[in-house]
Formats: sequence, C-alpha cells, structure tokens
Amino acid sequence: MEPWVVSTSLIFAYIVVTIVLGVVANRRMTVDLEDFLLYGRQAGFVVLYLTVVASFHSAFAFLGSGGFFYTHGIGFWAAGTWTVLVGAITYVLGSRIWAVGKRFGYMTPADMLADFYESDAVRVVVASVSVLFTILYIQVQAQGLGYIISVASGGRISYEVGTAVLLAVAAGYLMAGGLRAVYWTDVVQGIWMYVAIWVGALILTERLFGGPIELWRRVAAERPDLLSLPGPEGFFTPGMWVGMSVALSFGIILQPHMMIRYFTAASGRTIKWLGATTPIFLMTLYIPAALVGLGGALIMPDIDVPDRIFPELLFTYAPAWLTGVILAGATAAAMSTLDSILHANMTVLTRDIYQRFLAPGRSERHYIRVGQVIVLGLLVVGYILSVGTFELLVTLVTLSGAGALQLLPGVMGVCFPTARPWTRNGVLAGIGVGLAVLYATLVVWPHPFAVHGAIWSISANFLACIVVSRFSAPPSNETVARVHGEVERFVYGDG
Amino acid sequence: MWHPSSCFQPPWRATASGESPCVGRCGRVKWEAMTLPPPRFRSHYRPRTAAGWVAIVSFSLLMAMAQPPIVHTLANRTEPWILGMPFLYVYLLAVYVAMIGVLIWAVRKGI
Repeated sequence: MEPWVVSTSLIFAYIVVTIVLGVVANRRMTVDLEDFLLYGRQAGFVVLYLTVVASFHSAFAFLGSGGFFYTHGIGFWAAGTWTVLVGAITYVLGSRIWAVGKRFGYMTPADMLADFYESDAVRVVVASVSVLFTILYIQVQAQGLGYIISVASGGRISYEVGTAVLLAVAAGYLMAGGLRAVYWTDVVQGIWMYVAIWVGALILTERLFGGPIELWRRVAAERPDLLSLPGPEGFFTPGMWVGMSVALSFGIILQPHMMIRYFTAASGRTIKWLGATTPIFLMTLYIPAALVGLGGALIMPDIDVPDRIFPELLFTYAPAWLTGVILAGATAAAMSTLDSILHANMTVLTRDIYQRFLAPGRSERHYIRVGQVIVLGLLVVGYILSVGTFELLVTLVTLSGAGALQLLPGVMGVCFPTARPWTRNGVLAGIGVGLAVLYATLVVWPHPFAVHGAIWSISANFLACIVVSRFSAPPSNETVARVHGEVERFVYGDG
Repeated sequence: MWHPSSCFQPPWRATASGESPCVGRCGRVKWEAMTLPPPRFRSHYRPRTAAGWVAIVSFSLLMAMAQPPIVHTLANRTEPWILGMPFLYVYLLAVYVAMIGVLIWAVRKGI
C-alpha cells in the first residue's frame, strides 16, 4: 500500500473517532447553557489536564517548534520557560478566576471584568479583544490542518479541501456536544499528540543518527552555531527571550479558550494541581521537537519552509504507518486547539453580546441554538482567513498571544485585592494604549531595540491603567467587598 | 458616607451580619448611612506565610536563572557536556524541573 494511502487513512480513522465522541457527548448533553458552555463546572483533574495541554499545544507545537529549532537552534528551548510560567499562572491566577467564577456564575472573562468594573463598555471591549485575537488562532490551526492533510495525501487532497473538511468536523462535534464533546475529544487528542511526537522523533533520531546522544554530538561538530544564543540568525536576544516568555505564557492563558477552562473545574484544588503539573506535559513536548529540528538541520539543510521539517523527514525516512500515526497526531494537536477556540468564541459571542445586548431573557435552548449558529459563522470566517497567505506559524501565534495579553491588568485587578482597586477607565485606557503600542511595535517598528513588542505594549498598558485609575472613580465599595472578599476567603480563608 | 453619630454600629457590620439597617426618626432607612466604607484588604502581592515566602522567592530565583542575563552569559555554552548533551540544554532542563518541583511542593503545602 502506498504511503499516502496509509497516512490519509489513519488521519480519517482519527477523524471518525472524534466524530463518534461528539455523538456520544451529544447524547449526554442536557438543555442547560452551563452544561453546553462550561461542562456543568464539573471537570475533574484528568479531563481538565488533557484538555488544557491539548488546547495549549497546537499545530505550532508540532510543526512550528520543529521549524524554530531548525532555524534558530537551541534558543527555542526558551519554550520551557513559558510552559512553566503557564503552570505558575494557572496556579495563582487560574485558581482565583475559578473561585470568583464559581461564586458569581461567570461564564466568560468579559463576564468577570464587566461585573467587577461595573461597566458594559468593559464587557464589549474585553469580548472584542477576546474574539479578535483568537480568530487569528483559528486561522493558524486551520492552515496547519490544511497543510497536514495536503502533505499526508501527497498533494492529492488540496490544502483548501483539507482545511474545509477538518474545520467542518471540529465545528460539527462542537455543535453536537458542546464543551463536553470538546473535552472528550481533547483527551484523545492530548494523548495521541504526545505519544506521536515522541515516538516519531525517537525513531527518526535512531534511524538517522543512531540515537539522541550521537545527534547532539554531530550538531556540535557540524552546526555549533545552533547550540548557542542568540542563534544563527541572532533571533534569541535577551529582549526576545523575555518577550516570548511573557507573550506565550500570560498572553495565551488570557485568551478566552484557556480562561474559560478555569471556570469549568470541579474545585480550586483541581486548578492548583493542574498548574503544578501541566508544565511537565507542556515542556517535555519540546524535547522531541528539538531532536526533530536540530536533526533536520543536519539532514535537510536547505528546506524552503522550516515548519515542514517534521513531515518531510517522516516521508523520506519513516515507514508509512508511522508517518500516518504522527500526522494524525499533528491533526489532533491542531484540532484540539481549533475546537477550543471555536467554543470560546461561540461562548463569548453568545453570552457577552447576544444574551446581554441583543436578546436577553430567552430560554436556554434558544441560546444553545444561537451558539450553534455562531459556530457555523465562525467556521466560514475561519475558512476564509485560512486560505489567505501562508506565514510562519509562530509569528501569528505570537501576535495572538500579545493581543490577549492586554487583558492582564484588568484580570489582575479582579483577582488581586489591593488597597486601591484599579478602575473601569483605567482598564479601558490600558487596553487601548496597549493595543496601539502593540501595533506599533509588532507591525510599524517590529520589536524596537530587540525587545519583543509584547513587553513594550504590556508596559504601556500597565502605566496607562495605573495613571488613569489614580484619577478616576473605582468600582463601588459593595462590588469590591463582594468580589475581593471572595478572593480573600478563597486564598486565605476556608477555600 | 457613614456618619458615626447617626448610627451606633458600623453599617458594614450591620449589613454583613444581616441585622437591621439604621433607621431615621421618620422611620425611613438612612441610605447614606448604608453606603459601605471602602473595604480594606491586605495586599495579595505579599505572601502571608513562611511557606508562601519560600515558594515565591525560590520560584523567582529559579525563573531568574532561566532568563537573561544569566542564560545569555554564564549558561550560554556547550561545555561541559552532561550525559552527552550540551550544558545550556541540560542547565535549562534542570531549572525547569526545579521550578515544577516548587509548584508541586506549594500544592502539597496547601499554599
């Protein structure tokens, strides 16, 4: 049997598994908005763990990270920093978000911020930022999916068709089973992607070099520039190292698909264990990625698109069955992030815009139907965006992360009681200034003085937030006492 | 604002405990007296326990070891090779594992 047949068949077998899970989840679903959007706030440790790691790691982890090691060398091991930071943020910030979400019934980040800052303007701005910057992520994942299936089929299934099919599958099981379907498929996807990248990298390393130790030795002998900072192209300067650490930890955690997961946990302790242990999965996934990228730089030094190094190595040097399993793993990585983002955007648009402003007071069944229609709309938008120009995956991910990062001061204002709370005007000013500076430092003048645009933008954001808060009215004492009192009770009381 | 002379107990306490709010001579609730004073919370940016201090200081120090300037100067070398891998790679892996260790320790201590 030809390799492309095996690869494509395994990917479609994987797709069938996700569809079956979606159907089963649909049968367990009740006509309850909280169940549809938040898994009934009953997610236990194992399910939550695998859905968080699967959502965090996307097509980028499978394709972009190998490409980054290939191009910039060992500097991409900085990834460990932001994955551990993700754990710490989940521990400290995520557990507080869970506490206030559980107590006051928040379903979205905008719910939380609008309640504390007593402002519908904050709700609209936060919802807009959430959707705007995660739609970029839909584009990234959809592009990854189209590319994977195109490569797996040896070009017989076009990029456009592959993107459309896989987008439709993800949207289909989301519409059928809500967040329960997303979580259950994420469990399969999380395990599959982890096993696939490790098995693939180790087998390739063994075949091509005789093992990882020999690979390292040859990299040192033939490409020593890959083993030092800032790397062959001078990318990993101190400013970029710090900037990527911030943008790809805080920035991704603050995206709605990650924050909403905190609302779904069964307990605060679940979130804390999640924070302490998710870095193990997240960080160790980059170990095989390093083997692929650095090994690829020796074996295929002149590849046109570095992101393609893993599939190129597989097709050239691995058996067909292995290539299929691994590309299905890459599909899993992309789909698990894609379905989470579709779900998050659907939740934000349904809850923060439709239910709040357009049609309040309707039945839960009505809102579920509207959410399903919104998913269809997002499917179309995602497809249109994904058939645009192909860029390096990591650039888009970084832009997305830095956008959601602008919510940080507002979220910290809710979750960290202080003597003088930040204000609605302060948070709005901070987001506005932060986004303006982000545009300037990522598009107009990329990374000024070799410092990542995320650092410039979040610094300006905090400054504007603090200054404007100093001269504007804080939330009412009742609201501050209610929300901060709950945080105080959770952290230092009987929580 | 709350005026001490118009009510014998702080309205904050009255509301929190579920007792009746202050009532004026005309029998109507004094809404100005119901307004809560600004709540005061001790900052959450400073740990309040010894274990909390240990966790935050050790995690911060380890994070500093995984950031510039240390990574770009002291740790930026391949020698000595450790277990067949370059120094920078193993050094960072060790720091990451230590940071995860701090997080697990913090959960087990109930921080």
